[in-house]
Amino acid sequence: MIRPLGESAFLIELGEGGPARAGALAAQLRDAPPAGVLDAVAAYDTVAVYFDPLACSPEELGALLLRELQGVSAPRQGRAVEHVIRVTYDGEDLDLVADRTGLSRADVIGIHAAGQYSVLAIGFVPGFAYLGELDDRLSIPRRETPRTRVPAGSVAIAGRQTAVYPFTTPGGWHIIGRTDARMFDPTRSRPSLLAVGDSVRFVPT
Amino acid sequence: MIEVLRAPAYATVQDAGRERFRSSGVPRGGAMDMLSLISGNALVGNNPRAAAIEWALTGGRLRFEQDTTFALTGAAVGARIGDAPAPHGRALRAASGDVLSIDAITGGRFLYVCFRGGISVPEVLGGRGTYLPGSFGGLGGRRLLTGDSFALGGEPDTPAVEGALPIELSSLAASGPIGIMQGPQAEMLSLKEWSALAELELNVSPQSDRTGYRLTGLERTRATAAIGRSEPSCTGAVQLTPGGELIVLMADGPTVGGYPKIGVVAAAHLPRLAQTPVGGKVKFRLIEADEAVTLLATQRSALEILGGEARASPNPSKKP
Repeated sequence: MIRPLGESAFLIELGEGGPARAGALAAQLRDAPPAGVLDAVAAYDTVAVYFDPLACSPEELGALLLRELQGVSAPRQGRAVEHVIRVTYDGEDLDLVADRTGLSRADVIGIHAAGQYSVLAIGFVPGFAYLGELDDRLSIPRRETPRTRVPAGSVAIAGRQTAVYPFTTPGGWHIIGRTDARMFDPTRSRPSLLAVGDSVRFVPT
Repeated sequence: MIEVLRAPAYATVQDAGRERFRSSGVPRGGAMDMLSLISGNALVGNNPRAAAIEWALTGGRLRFEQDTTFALTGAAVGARIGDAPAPHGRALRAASGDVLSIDAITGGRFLYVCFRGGISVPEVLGGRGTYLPGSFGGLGGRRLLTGDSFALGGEPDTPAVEGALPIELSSLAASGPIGIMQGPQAEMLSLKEWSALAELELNVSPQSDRTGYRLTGLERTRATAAIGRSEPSCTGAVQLTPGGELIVLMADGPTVGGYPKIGVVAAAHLPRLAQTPVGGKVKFRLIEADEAVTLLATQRSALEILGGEARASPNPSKKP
């Protein structure tokens, strides 16, 4: 389904294929943009296409996107880009998470590091990747009062998701560890380390 | 070179923004009032995307260390080169050693100081604009400070414009309601609430910055539900918060979000919203996408006429 997002963007709901298929469609639209298309972004199973409505006919672009949509499938299992992120599990909320979940610290670390995560969306700040799904046993709601300062590189969890903070920002997720991985670097041609549809594993250092 | 003798409380280098990196979570960024940036660039003969100073709040002073042409667009402000008044909305000549004094902003919110040749800072991710939350772009990824200096780019081929900026290219002169289109979650407002919205004067809250403008005054008759999963968003998206406030995403707004997007402000009218100061009033009018495109096309042709006049006039900066 294609819906307008103002006069200069469309929002496409894929319905099936999840972030891997959405990520593939967005990448295809960025690599070979149809006339007038400026950018494309995937999040969960939605893709936004940004265009200059004076450089193309929005109506014709919508029809073309519907056709492109038919031809896009998710990369086959095992074909997605896989990232390994090394984590020092010494986060200040580790005891709180263990307490709330009734698990030991070692179990919290073991369960988090055993997960295979998909990049579902990137946002909040540049390079902040929402990763899922987190094992249900570790699922606790975010902090009632967000911290005003979460250090860059913090590995954190909230609900059924986990993430790494690319910048020092305010944040409400529970910090369980830290990494040296550069999640965002504006000097790289693809500044975010992770892209929607990629796969991520965490390895304890 | 241009030297900042006294920096205002807020000034950054901004251009027409970054269009290719939303997938990495990088917002479009660039000028809050894109129309004033592009118009100012047209006045001095620049490429529309050239970088300029986006200036807000208090006054300050700049010193020219070369002969150049510049223009002031956007917010209303008193300014002087030496003791001579520096009128708004037209190309002005400054000689090396001249000091440009700019007073505190008296109308609107963002002033653009556009220099012929544009501000020469390195391109980061296809843009020269400053993204303060990520500390990149512009001059070292930060605000301009007293004592800073920066170089200008090479002389463009197009001459500067002789006349004044036409009124249809002024973000401050326009009146009447701001056009919004229904967004992907428009149904989060009832029909009654939509018609109430068309009658309301909303207030621009103090929590309004380059990320988003918070508008208060809409009375909700029911609670707002989240949309569940985050969706990609866009500049101008009108989000409805659980508390019933509206947040319009501006230049540095996040690329994805989980609040329902009840509408999207017409791109041609977003500069007017950007120029509405804290405590100012905003009135919306529901329009269709076709009308929003027509509004953009009208602005584009006014800019082309302005550029055409410049090309037809004798070029003061080049000898025959």
